[in-house]
Amino acid sequence: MSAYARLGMPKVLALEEKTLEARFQELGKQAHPDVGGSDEEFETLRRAYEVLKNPASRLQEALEEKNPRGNVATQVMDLFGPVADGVQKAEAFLTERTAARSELGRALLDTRVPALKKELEALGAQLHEVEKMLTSRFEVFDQQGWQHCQTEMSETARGLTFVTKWQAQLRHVTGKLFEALMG
Amino acid sequence: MGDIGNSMSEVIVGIDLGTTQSAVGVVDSGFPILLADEEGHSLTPSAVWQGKNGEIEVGHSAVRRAGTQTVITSVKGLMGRRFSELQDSEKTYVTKIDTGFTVTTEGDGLTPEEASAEILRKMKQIAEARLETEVNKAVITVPAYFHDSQRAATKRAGELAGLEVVRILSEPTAAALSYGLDRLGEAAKVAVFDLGGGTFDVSLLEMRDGVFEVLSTSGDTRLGGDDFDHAISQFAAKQLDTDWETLAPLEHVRWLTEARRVKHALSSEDEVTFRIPFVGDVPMSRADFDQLLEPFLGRMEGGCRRALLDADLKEGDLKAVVMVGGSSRIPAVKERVQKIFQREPDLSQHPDEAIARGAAIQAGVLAGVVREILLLDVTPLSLGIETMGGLMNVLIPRNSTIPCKAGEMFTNAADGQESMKVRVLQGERELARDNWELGDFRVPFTPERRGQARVGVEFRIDADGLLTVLARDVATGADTLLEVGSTAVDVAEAQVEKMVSESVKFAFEDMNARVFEEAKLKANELLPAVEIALEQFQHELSQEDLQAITSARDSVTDAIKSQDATGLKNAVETLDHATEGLAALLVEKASSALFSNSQD
Repeated sequence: MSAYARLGMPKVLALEEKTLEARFQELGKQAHPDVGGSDEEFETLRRAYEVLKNPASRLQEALEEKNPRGNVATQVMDLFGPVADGVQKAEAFLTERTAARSELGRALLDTRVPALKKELEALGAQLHEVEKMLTSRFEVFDQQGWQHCQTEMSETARGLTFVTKWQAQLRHVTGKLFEALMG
Repeated sequence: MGDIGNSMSEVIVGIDLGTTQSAVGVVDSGFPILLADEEGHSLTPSAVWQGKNGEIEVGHSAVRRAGTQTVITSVKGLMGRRFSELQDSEKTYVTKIDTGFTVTTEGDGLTPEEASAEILRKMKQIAEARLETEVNKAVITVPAYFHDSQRAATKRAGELAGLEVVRILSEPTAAALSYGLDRLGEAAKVAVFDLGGGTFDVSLLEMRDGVFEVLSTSGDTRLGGDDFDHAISQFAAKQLDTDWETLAPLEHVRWLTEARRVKHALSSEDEVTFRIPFVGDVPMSRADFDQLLEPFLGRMEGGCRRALLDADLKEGDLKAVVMVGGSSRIPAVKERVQKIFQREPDLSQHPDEAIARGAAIQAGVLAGVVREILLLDVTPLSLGIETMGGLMNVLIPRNSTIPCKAGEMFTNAADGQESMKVRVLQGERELARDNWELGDFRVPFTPERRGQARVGVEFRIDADGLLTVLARDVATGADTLLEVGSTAVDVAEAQVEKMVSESVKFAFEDMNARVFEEAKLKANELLPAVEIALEQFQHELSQEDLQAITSARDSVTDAIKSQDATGLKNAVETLDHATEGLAALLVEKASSALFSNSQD
């Protein structure tokens, strides 16, 4: 069963996140083992929700050819270097901090955290902009019909996959920064 | 909704098995109520006394014996843990046995599970006396951040007490149920901040139409009110020139009891005297206490910020920040929560009772007497397996809604290979060895050419947050339940001990050189750090502190020149200590900058 069918949602890419959330929770009231459903029933629901929640995997679901190909938007490629730099910088910082031997040494390193965090947040904001730019095409795909724009959808899916991956990386290192700073 | 007296459905109680106190509740006519013991107490101290002949007392009567006899308290923190990973201070109260360890009593000692089972048995008795019926089923709460082994140990404790544990429920989620019961019509995102006697959790939830969906959770299973009691005791011991480490166990109990009194009093008073008869008095101000709390507050803040990040929420997205747990009464904790979430905390829930009430509500849901509520919880820690090179391969990321499943395919690496060992891990670190090892299991292969035998392994986390592993032979389609055993850990432990003792033997000869080298590395880090930090903060230090720092710095420089190993080690330690205040200033500056950044 497709993720759309499992959630009883119309096959539309331009989804409201709130509608999707509400739908998942509503169906959960039947599928969850606590309220008369079963582990299996809930698992198919949970998976379908995971697929549609994320724009990249949602678009992937709408592709006939599952391996996205084609050019990646330059706006995405332009961010590759900065994101890699930012993540690397944060990781280098974390390594240095773990190696620090004294309270004062660590404290001195920690004064760099706010600037680092700001940099990571700025990158996150840029990624968010690019994500918005890519997902804004969803409405067009819906209007023209998915079968007519598989090529464009494939390209967009590739771009979104990168964006999602980088977002996860940024979130990961930012979380580590907090953990380090807060002990 | 129905009555508790309804004979159609079996009674399920909700139990909050707390670090310092426990409570039991049930849903009555749609509302959760706590059940009191014969003396009218609805909170029972989580204290267990075992006498020489094996006789047991639990709760208030056990507490009355403390101070003259050995009484088990705060046993929750020891649940599901291994002897090898206990801290030295914890090891003083336990004895290693074949299958784990027992906690010291006046009698033979009890394993943490047995001690918890005694508390649960007491809660069962209280419920049976109040409800005038047999009670065989329970929902038991655990800290959200408990890993699989800690949850499994809690479940076993329940079974030992003669209870079928129908759900292991996370404490902040339980508190959210208690908070949300009167607000079922509202749609809102809320945070629950739960700081108890031994554990800290923070969970972010979305409530809508009776569905309570946990979005993220974070916490620390070794952070709570007990830590503050220790910090106060150690502060007092220092003032009284007493060596805390060498005090006898019963003395520790006396000091910690006094510390608890001081801690409670400081929530409403500005200054309280810590008093140990025949030893001395230590006046303690709230500012002193706040300073002791600072490192703990920092850890809590880290947990809260990570939970927000994981849920992809901003402080302003939350409609309420519900505080529960006894330690949420502390003013400095409330202030910090307010600062982090930028809103007045919601104190509408009884800090000691909300979790048991929530457990009762979930018990009602599972008994079928509460119909309009559904809880969607998450797994707090990532689940994965060790891959080549000692790395952790995450199969189920943290904060996945449970129950959930993940599959992994395994192939034989050699001709005729019969099985393959897989280590299961929980945690967030990249290196396998930095995570909690749940245990390992063997994937069985039918003997075939290399790469031909294929077995699919399914990892399931159920609604209790507990793991089961199933293997499916691709050729035959047969499913086998795989036992995840933890025996291998003891082998590893023995190996580690052997390695350590060997390295000590070799290292002994050049001990002096090593002490010097290590101290020098630390000195090389500290000396430039002191210069930079002084440049920025010299004017904020007292003449006295500045003097202490500069003289400690000079003795470090001298010791390096004279190649004096012990002298350098001591000098570096003195400098490390002298710069504590300076370090605190720096951290404060950094975290306030971090904080103001997140506002824009």
